[in-house]
Amino acid sequence: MSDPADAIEPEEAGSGEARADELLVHGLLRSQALDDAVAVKRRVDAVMVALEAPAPRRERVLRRWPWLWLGAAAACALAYLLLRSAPEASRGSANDGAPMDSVALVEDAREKTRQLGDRTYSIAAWIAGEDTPVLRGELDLRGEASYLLRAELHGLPLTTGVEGDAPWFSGHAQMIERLREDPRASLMFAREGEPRFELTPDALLAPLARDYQLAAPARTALAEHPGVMYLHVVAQRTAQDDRPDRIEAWIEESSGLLRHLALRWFPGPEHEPEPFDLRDPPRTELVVLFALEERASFPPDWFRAERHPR
Amino acid sequence: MTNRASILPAEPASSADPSGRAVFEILAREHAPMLLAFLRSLLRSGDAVDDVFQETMLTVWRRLADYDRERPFAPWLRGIALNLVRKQQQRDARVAVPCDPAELEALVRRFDEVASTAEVFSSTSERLQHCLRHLPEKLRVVIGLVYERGLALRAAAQALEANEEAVKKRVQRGRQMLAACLRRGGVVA
Repeated sequence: MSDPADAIEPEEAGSGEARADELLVHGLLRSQALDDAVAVKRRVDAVMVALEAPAPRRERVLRRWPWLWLGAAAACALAYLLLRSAPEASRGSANDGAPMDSVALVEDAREKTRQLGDRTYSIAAWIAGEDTPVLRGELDLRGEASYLLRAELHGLPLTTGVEGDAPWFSGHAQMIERLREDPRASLMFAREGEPRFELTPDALLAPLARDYQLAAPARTALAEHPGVMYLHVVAQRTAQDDRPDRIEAWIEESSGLLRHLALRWFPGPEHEPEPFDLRDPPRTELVVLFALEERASFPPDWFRAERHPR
Repeated sequence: MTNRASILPAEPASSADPSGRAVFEILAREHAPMLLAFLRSLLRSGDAVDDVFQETMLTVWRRLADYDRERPFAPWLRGIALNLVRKQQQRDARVAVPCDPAELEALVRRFDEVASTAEVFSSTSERLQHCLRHLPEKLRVVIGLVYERGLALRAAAQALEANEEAVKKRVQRGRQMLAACLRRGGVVA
């Protein structure tokens, strides 16, 4: 379930009392939709557990990450999409003289997702201006509708994935935490003693196409790799939420392989990103990079975080 | 109405005090639905609600000894939550709905009326369901799309083949009518 955050705003012309009325009803309606008895019980259970073994800083850091993982999950879907659709997009551009329509590209990719082979991408999250990534990990595209993200954040192992449109992650002690309210929580499963998650592309691609403006792929060359053509795809977020403002992908045209994927959050003067670490809240752009590990031919610093004023 | 908080032990709560913990758990379970509705009135994202809910409960646990048991528990709980919402808002202005002090005061007053106790809040929820059933169909449908199905305005507009701004207006109108209905039912003064 998406979060209808854009619906919360009361009528601007209303009086203070009228706006308070609307906010009251908004809260009641949202709560009735999301906070059923099971969900409330789970929340209070979590509080009671926290009373027994409080670990404020660690929990806090972990709880700050859902937005990143949501973005990462969306990126996985995009990776899946682009991985399968790039050759078609290329052909469309060459044969028709016009780039393939982005919506058609999404639909086409959804049809082809069942044929995906394994691919592993390294992941690094950078705060602009810093030399050391705050997160390193790998994205394992396992094949038919199955993705797994494993990473380490501040020494803590994290595993994440999405089932349906309900993202999850597993933090320390292999505890599984739900990232958003969703009654489909029970769909989580474990395999081989380790928490694993399934990501269903259909469940993510549709929201991505809905909440992002997908530009048609553009052919481009990079100074670092003369002679190699890439398809550059840009998705700009249109919905108001915490997913990346902008997703960019570079696909090797000859192979159709997604080589790099960048997620960007652009904090404005009033909108700062969630801190990675409460001791040092970042005030600069955050970029998460995905780079294909196999056939890695780019120099390590081929793509670095940049500041993009809004 | 019995104020369950009056059965709290006299000593400060601690994890080593099983009776205090048990009473806290009762209070937390009773008031959690109200607290969630309060937070959802103020905060945009579910993640922020998660954060502030847990922080509020943990703060209540730590400060239980400060609580004046002659006063109702629910407003005290909301007061702590409101402070934490403000702190959250200072870190990131996006998390909360912008409210001027008068609006915020009015909202707190509303909750004092509809959720003076856990039982009153439960009655309010039932009354809201009644009001929803009596909402004009055009508004009920859009409220259902946005709140029950969780669609963003844009998606709801697509589903209805309507203009996004028009859908937003319908949502606002629906909420206003529901608030008026609650008022007629004596839930909101």
